[in-house]
Amino acid sequence: MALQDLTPQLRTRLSRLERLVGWFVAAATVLLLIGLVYYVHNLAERRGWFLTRLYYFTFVRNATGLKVGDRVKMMGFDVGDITEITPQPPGDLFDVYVRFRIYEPHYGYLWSDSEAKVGAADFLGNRFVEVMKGTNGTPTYALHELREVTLGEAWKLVGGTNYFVFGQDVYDGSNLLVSASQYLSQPALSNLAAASITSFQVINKNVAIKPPKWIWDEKAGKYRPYTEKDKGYWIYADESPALTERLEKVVTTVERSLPDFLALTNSLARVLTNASAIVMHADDLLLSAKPVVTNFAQITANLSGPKGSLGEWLLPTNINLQLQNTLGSANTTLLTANSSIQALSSNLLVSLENVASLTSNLSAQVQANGLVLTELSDLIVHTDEMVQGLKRHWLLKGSFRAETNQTIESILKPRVGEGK
Amino acid sequence: MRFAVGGLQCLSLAFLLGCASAKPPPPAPPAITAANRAAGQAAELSQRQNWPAAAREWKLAVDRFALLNDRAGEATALHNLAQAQLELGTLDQARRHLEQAASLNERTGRQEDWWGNQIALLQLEARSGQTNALQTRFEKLTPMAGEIKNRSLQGLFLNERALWQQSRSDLASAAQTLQQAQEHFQAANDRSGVAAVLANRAQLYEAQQNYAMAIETWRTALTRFESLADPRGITRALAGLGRSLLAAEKDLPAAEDMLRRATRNYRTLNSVKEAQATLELLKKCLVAQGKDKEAEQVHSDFGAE
Repeated sequence: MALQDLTPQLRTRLSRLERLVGWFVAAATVLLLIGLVYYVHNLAERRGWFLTRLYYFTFVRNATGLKVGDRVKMMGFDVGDITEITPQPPGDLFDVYVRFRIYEPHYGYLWSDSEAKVGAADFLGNRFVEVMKGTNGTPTYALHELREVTLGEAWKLVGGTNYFVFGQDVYDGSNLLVSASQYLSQPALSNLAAASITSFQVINKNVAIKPPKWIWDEKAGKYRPYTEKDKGYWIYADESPALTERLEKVVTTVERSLPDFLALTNSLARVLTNASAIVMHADDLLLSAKPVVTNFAQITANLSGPKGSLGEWLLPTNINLQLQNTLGSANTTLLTANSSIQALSSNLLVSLENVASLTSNLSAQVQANGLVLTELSDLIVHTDEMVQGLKRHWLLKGSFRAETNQTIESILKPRVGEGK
Repeated sequence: MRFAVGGLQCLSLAFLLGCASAKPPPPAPPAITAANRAAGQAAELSQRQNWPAAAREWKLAVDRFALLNDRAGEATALHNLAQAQLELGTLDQARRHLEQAASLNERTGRQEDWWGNQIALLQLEARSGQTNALQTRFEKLTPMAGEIKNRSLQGLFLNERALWQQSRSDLASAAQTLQQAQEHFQAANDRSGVAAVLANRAQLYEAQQNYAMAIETWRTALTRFESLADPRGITRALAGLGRSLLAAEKDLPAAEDMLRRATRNYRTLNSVKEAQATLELLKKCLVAQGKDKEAEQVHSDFGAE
């Protein structure tokens, strides 16, 4: 239907609606733009796009577990990220070049004595770079205004509110006269004058420079201008291998030591077995000695008794011969009995050994069957669970009608009369 | 086409697996489960005729039902406990428990169960030879017998009455009553009752010295007991058949065979009294066949087993 076909009232209402829709679309667009801007701003903040970033580099033995984009940490904070990992040319003293950048204001913590610690991050072989806060060195970048002054100009800076520090190490031959970061003072300047030093760098700590334009030169012992072509400041690396490598080393060591350990346990087992055998033999010996001691006690008791004189034991000579014969027969009988008892005891020993092996086998069977029984029990339980589940399944439950609570019935049987 | 079939299969599988199944039913309270378990085990033991164990379990069931105040269950368990005690020969206890069960059933208005208790009491009194008590009970129950709606119970009552009449040498009335009992059992499709009535009728024929009918009825009873796989009934039928054949002096070798088998079965069933009686009949049967030596040996033969 064309617009001109509508009534004036409807047209008025429609144009009002169109205006309303227009306002709504405009408001939505504005809101969308605000959201986008907020998102971009937030992202930039998170990624440090608005922050000053200063470059550093270090050398490591290998690049295992490191990758470009990894966060650089300091004191537990993310303070920068790795920007480049490249191998050094063949024949170079160092192996892998790692360049990273540190965000504002964290580079202020990095001094010439800072180190980059490369350690294991997890069990998957990843590693991380953590820079250590400097404690006794010179800031790696001059964060304040630096200028070259003559001794005469320096004298004018001393006194009042002293914001000036030396910007370089000054030597007289090999003798350090002043060190960088040391405050300008009359004695220090006197020393410099005595050594005929005419000019040197000073830093005005009252004037901050952002971004820094001077970088510390370790060899020269002073700051030099920082350009875009500079790789950054070299921080020495304290590198530890990945955890997996360390674990591998541990395993290798354990593997080497294992034969010795096993030999030790075998020796221990032999010692214990021998000790056990000795104890058993001692027990047998004590048991055997017991009747001897008893007999000895009886003999001494007889000797000490009222009729204990040895004479009563002596026999008349006329029956000596008969006694000898009797004793000879008794001796023979005893020998026979002894041999029989020995055979019996050896047979008994064999039987006992068999019983011991039998019980040992039984024990092993029981131990083995313990698992089997457990598994059988599990199998039965799981099967029962499965069957119970099937019983409740909509398709099969018709086949397993739930048992009603069966009422018990009275037992009553017809009696058959006793036959005559 | 293949895709269509595959799709259909997948749809069917999803339907099968996806449809919700019923949740597990809520578990019965432990006390009820325990009572039912005790009663179930006791019933199983009674069926296996392990009477000492059955008596113990029924006693447990009685206690469990009493704890639940389930008076119907308690009465039934008491009745069944009495049945087990009847088999064990502790008649006084059995009587006491049956009276308790009857009292409970009377109070709860369970008429049929009350009749069951009364019939069991009749059986107990008949078995223990308490003729006066039996007569009193029959005099009390007979006018009310028309109230029994259950045909099987009616058959049981009439069966007991017929046996009582037979014991009082009222054979004609007994025959009539047994006929009625058989009709009731047949109407109730109670095969066990029919078999028992047939055995009683065969005995009645023996008492009437109608051996031809007795033999015929014993044969029918044997067939019925065999179909029921009732060892005691089969043994009774074998003994009765052998006895009838011997009394009729017909087919004595068959009678001997029946009596031998009955004797052995009675011994297996630990029924010493019946075994002894059957052994005497066997001796008579052997003598009747002129097997005097075997008749002399038969005691030692069965005694040695």
